Amino acid sequence: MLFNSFDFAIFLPIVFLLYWFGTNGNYKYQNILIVLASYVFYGWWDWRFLLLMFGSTIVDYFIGLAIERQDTKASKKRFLFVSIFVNLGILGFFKYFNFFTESFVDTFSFFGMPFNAPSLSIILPVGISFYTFQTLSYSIDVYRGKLKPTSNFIAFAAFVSFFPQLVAGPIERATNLIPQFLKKRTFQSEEALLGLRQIVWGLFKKIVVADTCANYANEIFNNYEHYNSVTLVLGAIAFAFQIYGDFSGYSDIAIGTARLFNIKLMKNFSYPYFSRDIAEFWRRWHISLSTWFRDYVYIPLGGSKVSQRKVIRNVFVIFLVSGFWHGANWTFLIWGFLNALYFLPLLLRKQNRKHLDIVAEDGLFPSLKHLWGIVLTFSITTFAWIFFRANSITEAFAYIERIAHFNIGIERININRFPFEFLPIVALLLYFEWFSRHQEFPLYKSAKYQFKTIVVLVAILLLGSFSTIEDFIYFQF
Amino acid sequence: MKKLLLKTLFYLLVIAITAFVFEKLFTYTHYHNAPRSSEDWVMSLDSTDTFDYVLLGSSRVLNNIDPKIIEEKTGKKGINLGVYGGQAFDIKLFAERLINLKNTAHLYIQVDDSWNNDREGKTSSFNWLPFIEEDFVWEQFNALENEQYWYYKHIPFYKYASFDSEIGIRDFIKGITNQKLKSIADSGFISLEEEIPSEEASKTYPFKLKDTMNLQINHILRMCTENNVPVTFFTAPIFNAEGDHSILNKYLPNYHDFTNTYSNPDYFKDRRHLNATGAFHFSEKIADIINQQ
Repeated sequence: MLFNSFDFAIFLPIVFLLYWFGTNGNYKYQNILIVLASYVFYGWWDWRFLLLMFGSTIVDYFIGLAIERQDTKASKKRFLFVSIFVNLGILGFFKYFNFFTESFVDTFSFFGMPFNAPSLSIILPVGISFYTFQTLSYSIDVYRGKLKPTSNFIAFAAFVSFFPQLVAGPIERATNLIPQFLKKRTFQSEEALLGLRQIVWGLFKKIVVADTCANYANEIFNNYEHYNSVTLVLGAIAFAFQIYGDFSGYSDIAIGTARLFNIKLMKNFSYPYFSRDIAEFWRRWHISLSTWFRDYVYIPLGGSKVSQRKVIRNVFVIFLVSGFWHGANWTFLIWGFLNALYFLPLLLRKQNRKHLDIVAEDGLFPSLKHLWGIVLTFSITTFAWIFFRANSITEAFAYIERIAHFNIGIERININRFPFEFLPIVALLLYFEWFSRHQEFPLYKSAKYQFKTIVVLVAILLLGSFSTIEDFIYFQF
Repeated sequence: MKKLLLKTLFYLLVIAITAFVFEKLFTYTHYHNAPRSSEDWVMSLDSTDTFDYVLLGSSRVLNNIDPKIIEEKTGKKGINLGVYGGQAFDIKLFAERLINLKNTAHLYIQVDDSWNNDREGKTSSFNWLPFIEEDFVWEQFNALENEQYWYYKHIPFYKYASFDSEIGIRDFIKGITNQKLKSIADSGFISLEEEIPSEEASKTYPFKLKDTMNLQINHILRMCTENNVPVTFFTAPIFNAEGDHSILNKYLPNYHDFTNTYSNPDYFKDRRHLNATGAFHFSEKIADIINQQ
């Protein structure tokens, strides 16, 4: 079920009304309703994979309790390994089996030893990367003693399957979400109103910004050999805003929906394209995944508190793993590698925590230095997005090579739209975001939020790309 | 909860009012501003705009027949109302509009291998949606028994949002800035300049017709008979056609088959469309027919 679908527009009010009026204010009934609704939400896509999610829930529920019962670190570790093996095993099979098989065959063929290996027709269960990471973090936190395992199976099942963030995050931590499922939740009017406006803002980012940009990005990337340098650069920019609008829009709708149920999810994006360096960008982009890798991979490897050689290794490990998490394709690995290259100099010069504040915090406009930082960061990020978007590495390099021809000129893009009409839409997005950068999202409790909400609603109606609704990009991950 | 409910209703009201206002505005521009499609054009005509003939059909009329050449050769005045992807469904709407206006002396209708399709054209019929309040348009869409068309008619702005890239905000901007359909200056004809690529020229164009009457064409024939409007049917040239249109002789009076008229690739833009050279020659052939009638 897509957030921007008619089905969801019916589903959400029904669940909302049952939640607040049909559960007698009892959190246990609310949790049962959340689990049932989440399973319906997920099963709408493919009911067969409900078993997979249910299996993952059972395994981690019992492993959490088992870890707690063990007396020795070694035996706790054994159970943790079972959780890691099961979760990464599921993820590995569904997401990476064919990739490894094909890469294996290609490598042997390269060395003149061709052979045939089985290639399975595996359907990738939607959201598998998200919920496996979420359950994995539970087992690790229990193992580390940061969290007491819950004996309430329904609350745990609600944590794993909570429908607003089930298929594309934010990847929640058990320490944040489970306690919320274990206490009484009463209706909070202000919180629900905020949720409603955050949903509206998310829909604007998805239907207006992302889907408009997608028209341009798809046409240009799919036919890059016919376009000149200027158009190709604009195509990469269109994709940069497509993926931002698409993914952060989804996160806003997810967080806003959770707010309607008085459940607070973590922030996933914080105006990343106003970042002044790549380190700041990664503190503001897909925060739930970045912090996941920081807490469960980077820091256990020693983080930055080890020898320089190991620091370099750690940085490459988290960025490459992060790239690989996105998909079984070498393009994602190159994307991760590039980001590691961008990030490393800042870390080695201890400049990675230079920009912890909000850009132009006390002023209207950034200084020239900060503006340069923003432009540079956006440029290198967009360059890396070319690899993320391209269907293969060969295609990405060919795209970049054509840009390097410096064929300059304005040319017609073969789609049924005005030339570069996505640019004023992006400008509208940036305008809203710039003047709201102190707030969680532009329609937050700021001055004129009412007026802004009306403008956004009218913009959705008038500018929305309803005839070319794209699937959320992160569903495939 | 009351606050949330009121606010939700307020937002829904904002959406409803906006939708209603823009529905009226968008529709108004289709009726009163410069025509942006052949459908707008035919709806902007009145009974004082008289024609000796009107050409109806798909892009195989739009790109193949130049009314200026016909006028030079015959002295008869007419327009080309061919539309990209046009189907018999669309042609019936054009024909009905012109018959109601009583401004056309003779209709010339192109038919081809889409003969067996009675339903709407996926790339053409949406241009009629701004006029869905018109009885003859609504009857046509309603007969399709597709609930979507009920929504298009009754939910404000739904049609403009659903076909946003065709009749949405961009089209509205073109309307209010008076950017009219360029082909009107050429009586509806759009010339194609390129020549058929050699790899396409080496292929045949296979097609097969089912031996059944097209319901929309049947309606047109009935309307024309009832209103004494003569109608002539024809098939436009195809390059390397591998099929037979002869079945159409059984169903259509005054039918001319030009399927295999040209075998010179220099006349074609692709297998189904003539380029400027081909269109020149074909327009002369059509002029001969018009002259005889």
